[in-house]
Amino acid sequence: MTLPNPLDYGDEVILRVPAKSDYVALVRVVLAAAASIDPESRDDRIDDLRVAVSEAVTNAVEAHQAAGTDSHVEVRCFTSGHNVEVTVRDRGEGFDPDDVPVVPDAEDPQRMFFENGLGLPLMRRLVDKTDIETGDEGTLVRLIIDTSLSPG
Amino acid sequence: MILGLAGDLDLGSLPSVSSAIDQAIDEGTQQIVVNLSQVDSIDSAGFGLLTTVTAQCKSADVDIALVATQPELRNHIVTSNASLIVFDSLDEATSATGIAT
Repeated sequence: MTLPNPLDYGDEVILRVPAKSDYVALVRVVLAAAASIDPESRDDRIDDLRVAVSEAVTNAVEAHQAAGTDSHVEVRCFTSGHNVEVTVRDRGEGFDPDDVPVVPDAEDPQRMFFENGLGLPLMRRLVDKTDIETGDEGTLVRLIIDTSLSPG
Repeated sequence: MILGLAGDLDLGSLPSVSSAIDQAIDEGTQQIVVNLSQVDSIDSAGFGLLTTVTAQCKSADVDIALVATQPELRNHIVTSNASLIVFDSLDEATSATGIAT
């Protein structure tokens, strides 16, 4: 799939929110509304985007809380036609993508002890493309989706 | 006790749901049904929430049953954690836990 460069996108919405769990819902609502402006967007794809954004913002909030920083999480949404690109930037301490704990399979009784850890695989499953840049100064997650295409 | 949840379940939902369960356990409730039939979507923090409250009840020896009338949501929950049992109607969940309605 060929997607335009973000610089070529038509509309941009920017949100800066406190790194608090109560704001995850706010971001989800605003971004879903922005993506729904395209009259041909599919409701099931908007739902996928909502959950993927929720995952990314939740990770960002938790990264800020772990790092003890009170800086805001920045979320940008670029839209052009059916294409939506969302970036979520946090100022946490980053993580090693190769060192993400492996969550036991859903059938494994040990799964009960893993309350989190589904976020990254879930994001990858829900949107068309996911990019993660992470380092000592934080993490930037990019989610790209064509909201007119059927899921999968 | 039947606890009805609505809207989206996410990281922000955990404190209030968890304290409602704690309160019910403190008050001596022996059976809790969590009704998810009005829930629109659940992210991974929301799945974590369901795992947390189930563990909360199990450690207090309280029976817990989840209900979701939406087949897709039920499927998502079980895919996230096969040890969570989700009933497809409130009647089934209340009879399974022995709650009088």
